[in-house]
Amino acid sequence: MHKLDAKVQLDGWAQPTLLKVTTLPEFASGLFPLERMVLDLRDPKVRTAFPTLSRLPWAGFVVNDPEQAPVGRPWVAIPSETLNAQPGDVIEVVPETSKAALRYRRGANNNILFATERCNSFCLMCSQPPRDIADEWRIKQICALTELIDKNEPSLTITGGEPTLLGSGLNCIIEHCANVLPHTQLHVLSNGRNFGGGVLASSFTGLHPALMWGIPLYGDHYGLHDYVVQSKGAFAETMRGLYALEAAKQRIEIRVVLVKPVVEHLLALVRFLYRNLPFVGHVALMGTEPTGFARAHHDELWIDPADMSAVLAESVDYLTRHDMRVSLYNLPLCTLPRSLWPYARRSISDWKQHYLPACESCAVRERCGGLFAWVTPAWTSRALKPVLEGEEQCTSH
Amino acid sequence: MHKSLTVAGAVLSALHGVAHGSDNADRNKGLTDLAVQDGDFAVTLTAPLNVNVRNMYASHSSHSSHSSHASHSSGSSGIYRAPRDYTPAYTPVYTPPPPAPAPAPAPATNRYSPGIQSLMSTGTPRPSADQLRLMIMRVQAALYAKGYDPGAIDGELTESTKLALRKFQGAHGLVVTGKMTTQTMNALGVALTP
Repeated sequence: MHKLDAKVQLDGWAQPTLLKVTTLPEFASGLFPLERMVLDLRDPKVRTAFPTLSRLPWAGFVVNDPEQAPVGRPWVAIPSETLNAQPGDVIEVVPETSKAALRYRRGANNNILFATERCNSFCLMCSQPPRDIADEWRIKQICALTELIDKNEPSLTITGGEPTLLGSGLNCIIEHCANVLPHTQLHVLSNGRNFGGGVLASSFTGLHPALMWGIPLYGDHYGLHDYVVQSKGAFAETMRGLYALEAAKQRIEIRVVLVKPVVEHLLALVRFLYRNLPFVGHVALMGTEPTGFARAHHDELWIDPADMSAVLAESVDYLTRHDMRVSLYNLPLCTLPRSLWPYARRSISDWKQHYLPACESCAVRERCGGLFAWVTPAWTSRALKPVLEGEEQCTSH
Repeated sequence: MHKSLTVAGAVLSALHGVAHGSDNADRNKGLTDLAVQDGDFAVTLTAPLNVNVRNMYASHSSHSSHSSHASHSSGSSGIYRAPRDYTPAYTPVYTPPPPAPAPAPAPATNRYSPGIQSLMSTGTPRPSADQLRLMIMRVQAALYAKGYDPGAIDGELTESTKLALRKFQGAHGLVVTGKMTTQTMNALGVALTP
């Protein structure tokens, strides 16, 4: 696991500032304004070229040691043991708290744009418990951040909280992404409840060239779904929202978190998806992230992945036979039957991905998504064990 | 490009269906529509940095080329004088960053006297001295980052920089000119537009 922010030494900054970490290739590209770049003096080639490069109007400099900092210019010291800030990354320096935070990591498998802490649901297994605070300032910040992201970034995820609570702010963000990152796929995680009226949904028609909405559905019956999201009427609102999004020509992914009550009715849910929502582009069946509210509800939620095997296999088979794309997220390969391995994705963000000591000798570790860094023994599986050389070829299980 | 390939594939498969007696035209049309939508999600393998961009730096063989224009202008109205010195925007006391330099140079027609205009290739704007110097610095930085020796990263198109450009062009199968051609800029990862 990597830290995403840290206390640092810095000087010369008047306010929190987003900055592109720059070495020679980033400077050469000319794709970002010099005034929003920090020249990375930790890089030896940059140090060689420093005498002439220093005359350019950089926002400031990244150094290993405060003594390296050029006199009279803003700087931040980020030795590698503090924070893993690499060329191409976007950092935020916050002078008030003497902190630096990673806001974009080049090459990371899952860069997110955090839209809001507010939410209108209160899910039992929420990994990011909501707070009711005014955070519209994030709209501007996200737009500023997207301007510094690599133009060839394959995909970004907008998450929260519930991003639609930003109102037209979400449209602003998505439109801005379409302008500054037209080649980047955008994935927005929303509970879909605010789309019911149809007006909001249609405001996204044609707004972005490659946008997909990830919407959770936890049961084929309102009682189960409303219980999991702890909100009365949520099932009806989400269903109306899904149809409104479909009418607005939006791409939709259904996300199902595999908590115990959901797994118990999973087959009914996937049949419901095919019969009622055959237009969804992708179904993600996801292991639980053991943090936030989930930890408080372990007894209600926990089911060992080893005990899901039969129903998972049957559900994946049903969806596949009905031409619906399905993937399995957050489930280590050793907990899945071999027949499901082709559907398992390395879905856990690399900075919070983790392997157990037992994984050292595993032959398929490189293909496996591993576990969340905050996993505790209560959230693993009795099926966790290294897959041995030769075993990984066996498809008869 | 990738989109057109995806769509072309779908059209071909639709035709294939027709050739094999499929009478379901709606279904084929539906498949083509789907493929058109999928085009947006297709993986882009290569996207050249500079496409349909006018390269106003390609003709520069040395930084001093500006002075020749200056001598021309002395014979006419004298409106244009090439700025000779690069003035760094940096001053030791930190001030809030100045607004970024204008992204595109003013059209050449306003900046050169009629006598000069006739000597210039039609319609190609010329970079300002600062723009040119910054672009040469970018090229030098890219060359140095890729293991070539442009002399210094100082914005002067020196003999060492031109030699490094030629070596780079030779090693990458490009036309060896020692100049900042669009192909070379693509291979170096230098964008021509700000």
